[in-house]
Amino acid sequence: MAKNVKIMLSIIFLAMGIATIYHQRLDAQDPEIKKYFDDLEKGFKSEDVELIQSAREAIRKIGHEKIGDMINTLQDKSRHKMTRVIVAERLGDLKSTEAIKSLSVILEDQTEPKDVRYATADALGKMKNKEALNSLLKVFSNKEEKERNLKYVIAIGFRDNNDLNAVDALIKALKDDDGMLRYKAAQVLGELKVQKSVKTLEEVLRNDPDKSVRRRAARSLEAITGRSYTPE
Amino acid sequence: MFRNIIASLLFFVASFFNFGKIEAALQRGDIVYRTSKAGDMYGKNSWNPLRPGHNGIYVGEIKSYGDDEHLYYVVEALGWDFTYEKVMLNLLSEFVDSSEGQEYLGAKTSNVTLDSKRRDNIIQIALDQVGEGYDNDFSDQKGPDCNQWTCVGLTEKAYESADTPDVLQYASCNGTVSSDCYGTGSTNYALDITPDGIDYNNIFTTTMEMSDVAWFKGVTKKIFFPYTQYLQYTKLKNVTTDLPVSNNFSHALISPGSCETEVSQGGFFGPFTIEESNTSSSYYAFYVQSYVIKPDGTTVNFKQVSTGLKAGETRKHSHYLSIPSWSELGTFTYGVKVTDTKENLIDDDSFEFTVVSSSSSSSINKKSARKLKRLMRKSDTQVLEEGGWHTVIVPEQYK
Repeated sequence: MAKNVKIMLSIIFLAMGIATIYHQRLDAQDPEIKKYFDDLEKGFKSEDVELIQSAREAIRKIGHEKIGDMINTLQDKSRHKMTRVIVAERLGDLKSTEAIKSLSVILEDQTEPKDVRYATADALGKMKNKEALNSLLKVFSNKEEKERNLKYVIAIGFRDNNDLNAVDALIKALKDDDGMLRYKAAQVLGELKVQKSVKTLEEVLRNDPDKSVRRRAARSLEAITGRSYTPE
Repeated sequence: MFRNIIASLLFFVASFFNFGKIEAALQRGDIVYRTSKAGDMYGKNSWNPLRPGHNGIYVGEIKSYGDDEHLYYVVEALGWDFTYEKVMLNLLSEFVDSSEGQEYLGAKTSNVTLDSKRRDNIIQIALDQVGEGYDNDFSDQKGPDCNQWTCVGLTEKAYESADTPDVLQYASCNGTVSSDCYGTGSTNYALDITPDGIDYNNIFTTTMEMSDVAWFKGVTKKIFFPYTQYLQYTKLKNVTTDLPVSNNFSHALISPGSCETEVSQGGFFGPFTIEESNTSSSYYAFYVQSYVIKPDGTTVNFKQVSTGLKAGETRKHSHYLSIPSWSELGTFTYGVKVTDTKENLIDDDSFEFTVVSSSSSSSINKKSARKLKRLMRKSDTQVLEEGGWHTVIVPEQYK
């Protein structure tokens, strides 16, 4: 019994130790890294292109070992939105799976600046990770989402990342209320040549109330089947 | 016989002008232009490349299920001046953010008449790019692949490829990086609205696409500015903008209830309320013009009134309309048109009313008539007269 308690306590202390180290790592403020972010901030506030460009170049070189600093900066809402955008871009380039949770929280938060949300969508798309995809699908399928362009950006991301796990959501979007979302879904399904979307695309071709969407469905059907279609 | 010919001629002229009113001047595929913030636009009144100005392609309506109102859209590549945006589909009414001091320049279209097929193709090219990325390092600017678009590059490419929307046309390469966009020119362009090429050592070119701009660490960039395209008078012609392009100024005519829209010859009706609001951070000047369309389609235009609202100001005023005793009977339209100082239409609200014979009406309210006369005598009441019709505008209440 006492032995079990000892083992349990050891596990708890070990977990606490790991958590503390991880937290310290996230909180670490490397002065050099902080300077890049501060310079970027200054550059955006004063519209100083040279300062922005040099800080941006430096941030593009930040490696995986400074992920904690970047996540902290990404989460810091007092930062200039473009500083957070550039950090999100870098996290996407590094494909840092540690950042997925923070990126997802921002992506799904409708109170965040749209620029930062677009950047997190791009970063999550690059991860090619199930958790990241789930967050993108959540926003893409959210009827209450007010930033419609974000959904179009996510749709194009599905295409660019050849994300066939998003196919069902795209087929469903062919019947969405939003005309432009139907257009984007038809476009991406055509560009990904998704065979199983043919039936729904044919319905769109026949019944969609918007001429541009019907035209787009015809082009996608042609791309998938190789046959010729004429929009009604 | 002669009288019949004159009558036919008058009918034809009236129909012609009436048709001109109904037909929206701004058509799908036309290009709309605005400045950057504080009215700045590179090449026009600024040499700051971070204030480049902007343009987009008007794409008309995209029908959504459950949408009863008409919503008009513009496709625009955004991302230059400290934003991380994309090629976006936005409401035309939000194209200009006057709270930022952005100013609308107007709309243009090709000098060569665009048939509906070319317009459809321009729209297709624009809509296909929605969601794509902005060309942040200006390496391409005119696509045709993803993340390679600037605002002016997208409009240029859409017109160049208006005959071949599935294969975007680009100029032949001359061996330098991404020279597609400013190469030696393509013979396959449908509509070349700004000549290809770089004006070397000229920080702003008016004759070809790319200016040579000092950028960073002594490096120059080849940049296509919207104002260069705007200046192509031999390639582009002006289009009247008859739809709202800014949501910072709002104007609403609140019509009287349906039971109050019957009025007798020689009578008057009202008040109906007009609400105006300027949510921008600067003064907004505009023109207001009331009009009455008679049952035969002819229009009585009242004098245009010049006015303005301070930043953040909202006001209401009441209008009364007095009907001539000899007015014809039938259904009329009363409307109020608002234009900006460049005569771009900002709003046009109207409602219908019916004029009935004075003997058959019981709606003349003598008490109200006395009240109106009292109001008309006040020094700050404005009375506009046109052909026997009177619009009475009672003093404004500022909030």
